[in-house]
This record gives sequence, C-alpha cells and structure tokens, in this order.
Amino acid sequence: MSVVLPGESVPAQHVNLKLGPGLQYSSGTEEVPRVLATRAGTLEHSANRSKWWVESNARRYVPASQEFVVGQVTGRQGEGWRVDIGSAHNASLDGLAFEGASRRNRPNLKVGSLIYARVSLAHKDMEPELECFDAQTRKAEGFGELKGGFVVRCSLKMSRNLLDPSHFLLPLLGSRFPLDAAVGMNGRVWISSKEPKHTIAAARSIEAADPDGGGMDQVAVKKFLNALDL
Amino acid sequence: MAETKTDNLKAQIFQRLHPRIYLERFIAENVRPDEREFDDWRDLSVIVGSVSTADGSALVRLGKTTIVCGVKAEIAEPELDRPEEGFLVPNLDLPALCSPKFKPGPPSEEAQVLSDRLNDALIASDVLPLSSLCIQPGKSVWVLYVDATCINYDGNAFDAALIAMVAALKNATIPKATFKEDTGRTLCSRTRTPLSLARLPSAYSFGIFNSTHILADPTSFEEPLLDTTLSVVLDEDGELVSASQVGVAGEDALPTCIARAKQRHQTLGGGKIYLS
Amino acid sequence: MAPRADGRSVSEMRSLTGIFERLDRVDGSASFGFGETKALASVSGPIEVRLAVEQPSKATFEVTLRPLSGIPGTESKSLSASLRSVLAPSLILTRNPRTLVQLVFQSLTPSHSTHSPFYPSLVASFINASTLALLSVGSVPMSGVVCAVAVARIRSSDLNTSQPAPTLTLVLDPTEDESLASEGGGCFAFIFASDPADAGTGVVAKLVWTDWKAAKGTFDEGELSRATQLAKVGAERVREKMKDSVRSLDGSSDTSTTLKAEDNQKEAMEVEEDVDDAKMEI
Repeated sequence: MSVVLPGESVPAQHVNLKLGPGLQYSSGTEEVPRVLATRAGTLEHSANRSKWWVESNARRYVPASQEFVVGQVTGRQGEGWRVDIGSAHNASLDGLAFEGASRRNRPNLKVGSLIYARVSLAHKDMEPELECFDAQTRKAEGFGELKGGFVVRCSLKMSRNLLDPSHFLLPLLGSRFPLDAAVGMNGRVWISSKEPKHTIAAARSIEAADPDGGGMDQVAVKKFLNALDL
Repeated sequence: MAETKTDNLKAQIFQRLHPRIYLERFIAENVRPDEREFDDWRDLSVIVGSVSTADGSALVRLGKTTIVCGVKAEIAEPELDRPEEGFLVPNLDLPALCSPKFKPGPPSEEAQVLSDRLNDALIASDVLPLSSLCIQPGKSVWVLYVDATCINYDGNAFDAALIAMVAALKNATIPKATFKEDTGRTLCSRTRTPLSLARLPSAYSFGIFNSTHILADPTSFEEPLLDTTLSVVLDEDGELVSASQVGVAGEDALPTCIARAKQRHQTLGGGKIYLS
Repeated sequence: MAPRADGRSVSEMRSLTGIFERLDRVDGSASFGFGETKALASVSGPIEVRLAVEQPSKATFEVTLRPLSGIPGTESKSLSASLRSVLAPSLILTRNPRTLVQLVFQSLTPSHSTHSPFYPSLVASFINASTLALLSVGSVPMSGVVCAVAVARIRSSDLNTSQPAPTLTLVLDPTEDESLASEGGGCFAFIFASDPADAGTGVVAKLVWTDWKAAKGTFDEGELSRATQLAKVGAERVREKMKDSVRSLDGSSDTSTTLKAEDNQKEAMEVEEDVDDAKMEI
C-alpha cells in the first residue's frame, strides 16, 4: 500500500491487466505503455495483481456505467424525466425504463420526486442515462421511486463504504431501530424510518462516520448512539 | 486562374475548420503559413511624433500588427507613502476594430493581462525612475499616461506595444514645472525637456508548437495553437532585463530563446530602433 | 553561507504547511504556506458550465483570484490568467468535456505593500495551494503535480556578510521584506510527472512557469540557470510536503484499519473521549 501523486508511474504488470479508477496508460510511444496515476491516493491491487486502482475520496460524482444512484427529478423531458444525480450534467430517465412500463402504464413522477436508479449509459460526450430495472432480469429489484424518507449527502468514499456488506454502520443502525436505506454511489443516501428521531440519528451517524467529515469508527458511533434517546 | 481561386478557398476553409492540422502541415515542411522560417521575425517599423496632440507618441508596425501609443502628462498630488514619486500609467487597449477576436465593451481579459505585463516591464524594471517625475516632494508630481491602442491585431501585441510605449516615452517632452509654495499651484514654462529614461527595453516573444518547434514572433493565427509562450526583454545593450515562460518546456527552451532574442536584437542594430 | 535576516541560509526554505481544508460548499480545498506566507484555494468540478464558455472537446478551466477586499483589479486578473496557464498542463481536461472546473484562490496573509501585493513567494503559495486543492478533489483527472517556489536576487550587503564588495546572491523562498529589498527575482513553477522520453519509473520536473526579472541592472543566462536549479531543489521539497499531506489525509480516512484494531483489542472501548459532543447533538 503506497501513496501516489498524479503523474507517477505505477508498477502494474499482468498479462490480463485491468486498470481501475485513477490510473491510465501513458500516451507515449513506448512499446510497453506505462501505467500512470491520474489522482492522488493509495495505490491498491487485487490479490492476483491483475486489477489495480487508486483509492481516494471525492465529493463530486462523475457517472460510471452500472453504478447505483439516488437522484431527484428536476423536470420533464419528452417521454421521460431529467434527473439530478450530482454530476455536471443532468441524467435522463426514459418513461419506459421501469419494470413493466408501457406507453399506457407509466410511473407518475413529479418534479422533486426521488428515484433509485442504475446508470445505463455513461459516456463523456453524452449525458448520462438511467434505468430503473435490473439489467439481467429486467425486474425492479428495489429500483424506482423512493417515497417519503430523507436524503443524506456524504462523500463518495462513504457511500462506497456503506455498500460494503462488511461495513459496520448500516447493520449497527439496523440493530437499533427499523430502517430502510438506498445507497447511491453518487454520495446520496436515502433513509426512511417510522420515527423522525430515528431518521435524524441515522443521518447524523452517516455524517459522523464519513471519512470526509468526522471519520468516526464503530466504537465512537456506538457511543454516540448510546448517548441519544432512541 | 479559376482553379487557383477555388484552391485558395479550399485552403482557407481547411484553415478555419482544422487550424491545428493546417499549421502542422506547414511546420512539417519547415515553413510557417506566412512564408517565414521558424526563427524569422516580421518587419518592424517605428514612427515617432506623429500624434501632435500628445506629449509624445509612436506608431509601431510589426508585420500586420499596428499599435499607436501616446503619452499625456498631467500634474497630480503624489501618494502619501511615496511623496517623491510620480506616476507612470501604461495601458493597452484592444478595441473591437483591431480584430474579430475582440468584442466591444469593457477591456477584455487579454487586454488586461497585456496591460499588466507592460506595466511590469516598464515599472518593475525601472525604465523611467519615478523620482524623476517629482516637481515638489509631497505636493506635486507628473502623471504620465501611456496609452496604447491596437489598430490592427495580428499577434505578438506585447512586443509591439512595449516598443511603442518606450519609443513614445523617448519621444515625449514635458514642460519645465515649478511649484509655487505661496499659491500652492504648479506653473509650467514653455521650455520642454525630454524624459530621462534609465533604459530602453525591447521585448522578443516566442511560442512553442507541439512541444518541439520554437516559433519567433507568433501571429494571431498561431497564438491560440501554442502550448507555451516565452518572452525575453533586453535593454539597449542587449543585456537581459526579464525572461518569462508560461507553459511546459524543456530546460533548453528558455536559453535558446534568449540566444535568438539577442541575435534579433543585434540584427535590429541594438537599441537603434529607438533612435529615429 | 551568509545567514539572512531570519537566520536561514540562502537555499533554506521557511517551514512548509499543507492542509486540506474541507470547506463545505466546494469539492476540494486546501491551504499552503511558506512560513507566514499562506494562501487558500478551493476547487469545484466537474460541474455544469455556462453555455457561453462551454467547450465541445474539453472541460473549461476557470481560475479566479478573490482579493481580501474589493473587486479584482487588472493585476489580479492577470495573475489568475497566468495561474490558469501554469496549472492547466497538470489537468486532463479532455476526460470531462462540456463541464467546468472552477478554481478560486485567496491570500491568507495581508501584504504590507499596496504597490505590489503579489510578491513572488505569495504567488508560489497560490500555486501550491491550488495544486493541493486539485489533489483533494479526486474527480478531476491530473497528469502531474505543479509545485512552485520563489527566488530573489539580493545584494550581499543586505545580508550581514563580512565581504566588502556587495555581490548578488540568489536566495530561495524570500520573505515579503526580502522581496521588497531585492533587485528582482521571480517565481518558478515545475510540473512533476513521469517523463515519456525516459524509460525510468521516476518523475521529472519540467519548468512550466517563470517570470524572472532584474529590477536593477541586468542578468545573464548563468544567473537564470542557477536560479532555476535552486528553485528546482525547493520545488522538490514542496512536492515531498504535498505527498506527506496526501499521506496524512489517507491515514485519517482509513476506516478499515481502525475497525480491525477495534476487533482485536476490546480495551479500545475505553478509548479517550475525543468525540465532539456539541457538534453531534441532535
């Protein structure tokens, strides 16, 4: 594990090399192109050294294909909607990109509605597109409009942490009170619980555990939750 | 005849649509679009004293780039923390008439950047000691407005404007002035004296294209395509006053430009451009 | 070596500080300082771009200097234009076309002089703070790191030497007072990146900006190259400092290691109460 700065070359070599975020091949004319870091962070690789990436935190979301996002509808556009997912451009969500949707039967989203969706198209020259069904099964699988609840903003690293099944926070919160959550890779987490104080406790815990903020660990968050009247 | 005309038109369209590739094709043939070689300069002409309403003036042509500069002297009170120093206020205007690049309205960013660089070149390198503009310490000093206007813009306005400003300052005369303590007024006599310039700088700018080719005296077509621009300012004896580089370049780029600037300075006859 | 007013040798820099500031409303922010000369920079991007400055093939990079008071004048406009050209080579703007990368920087130390408020060391700290802020953003890909440092030409008689004849000395990282008393000087910025021409794995420094000038007298090529070498050594140290800052940022955010530590040692339960209770209250 080592810290790299942009422009440094990385000793990544493998017959089936896959480069993740923060790395790119050098544009030079060498026979074997070198691998260069494009952002500052910790250099990581998979166990067999075939996948390399730079781990770092960010706040601004840049859409990537097949990532899950929480978005907010900002307007109608033809047959679909424009959705704010925190990136530079608004994403578009087609009216038919829902499970079982047809011309007759389309979900009724309004400006301000929250949705949980999958990025189906992310290309630098085009605006991102969203879909609210699973790519294989074409079933909703939890995607679609998020009714009620509350959206917490956090850093991108925090949302990745929350999606990691081994991360402590969501199980810990779930052990204290019933909670629905939808975690977007775009640094937005939707939470919904019966009581407002539970929603507030969950929101504060996510903010506190965010490495971009307090960066509290499990012990500290437990202590913090114990201090609350839940 | 008709064929050459359409060929010309085709070349013009190509130039507008793919300026970079257009320039690359020329560079590959070791020549630039205006038939110059890489380190060739455009013709320079300096005419002084043509604006009779100014206290000093100059008209400079560098190829098609044309700049007029006038010096106007006024009397003002000095600043409290610098009672013995006058003011030298250089300004370059790039009006909409000089190039389609510029829009009418308040000074563009480019004009502001150039004005600041010119201010730097004139004041920081002490061309005209500000103390020589003092009439009565703490009471009355000269303000010299050095206003340059670009009439036709074809790149490298910095070199042309600096030459125009220095030539205009060299051409300028100011009345002999005395401060009357009893009335608190400054009186000017009819006899005029030239300014005492400490040095006569001239600028030589270069651009680097595709990180390898150093182009001297870039035109307005070449300028936006350059990755790096370098400017060398020499005094009348060909000694270095300032050297600047903006953009990535190898270690030998700046020394190469300095050598070429000195060579050009020699060709122009040293500080003789200001002797007309 | 002749000590300077603050006891430093000619090639010694003041202590460097590089801090990621975590400003709330931007995507990344940092401050950088050479001793007391400190600057703050913030970056947002890629964000939505105004139609007027949208570019079809790359992101628009905007740099703004916010003066401590008043509106930006010609000088600060010119400085932000220079900084834009200095920092742009370190960014890969083609990855996010039709977007905006916005950089704002500000001095944190008021200048004593109203005539030349941007002395070279302050400009160098502007550049370094901007680079650190760009590093902290994470969402704007970069091809290298730009580090800057200032050098001044000072007559030896200004330094307390025993030499009778005053000779010009080049000093690294001049203070504002040293810059005011100097006979010129300038700021040098280098971009540190892997060199495509060199097969080695190390990074090389390439000059990306200088504004070397003589306020009195003239200089020669030798002096310029000595100043460049001196600045290069200084810029290396700035880069080391930046790497340290990134390292510390990463260490503090590494939740997985703290988690493991907790699992292994149950006594971690009695860990000191450093929780900011006031902030956490609902």
